[in-house]
Amino acid sequence: MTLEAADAQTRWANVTNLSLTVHAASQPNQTNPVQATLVLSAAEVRTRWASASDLEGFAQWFTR
Amino acid sequence: MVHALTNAVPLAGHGDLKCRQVATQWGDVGPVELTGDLTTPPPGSLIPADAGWALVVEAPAVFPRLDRIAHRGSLPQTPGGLAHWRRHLARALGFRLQTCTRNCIGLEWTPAPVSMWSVEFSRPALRPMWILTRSNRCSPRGSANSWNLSRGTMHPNERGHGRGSPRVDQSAARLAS
Repeated sequence: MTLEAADAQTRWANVTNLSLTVHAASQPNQTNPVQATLVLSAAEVRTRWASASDLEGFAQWFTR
Repeated sequence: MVHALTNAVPLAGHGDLKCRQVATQWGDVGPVELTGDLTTPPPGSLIPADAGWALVVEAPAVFPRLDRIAHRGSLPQTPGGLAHWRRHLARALGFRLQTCTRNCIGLEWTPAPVSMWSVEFSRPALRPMWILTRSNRCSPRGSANSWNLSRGTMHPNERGHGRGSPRVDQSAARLAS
């Protein structure tokens, strides 16, 4: 799943140049374990409490 | 094809978060690089949990072992403010700050001995309230309408009495007005 937005505004945060990719896949020959990967980037994230610029995030987890 | 997802809590995981600049009303930080790792503890490596853990036992799956949260980059330029507040917050939550390299702070979490305070109100419409504090660090005083204040203790190495309820000290303070 890929989500891209030049400008996104929610009640919690405003984001510019958002790119979010989530990939989830099962293991070969195993139906329940899932390995997921999330890649996130944004030029600016502004919330009520803080703002961040040039944000890059990466997460990878394994669940069952 | 996934047939079932029986436990959404990760067995293992890794995450990175990088920012060029983070600005808050308390201070500015930048650049920031946060790294976190989650692993499933080896069998037998953890302290056996029982009802004495109370809130932790109620939701054990929410607490996978937190191996490491590392911060790389410049620290906030408010040594008397944010750093002071962060140090006390970490201590209150049971985190132990570890200096690994220059400009890097690691956090290690261990279950901390805490005290549970129960406040029971005389009005049946008000449900009992639990307050969690570090052991022997807090002595709440006060009164409001009519209520009882009881102190219990909770420690990972102690056995609790009854699932989900903390052990209540018999010498608990009893306040009523």
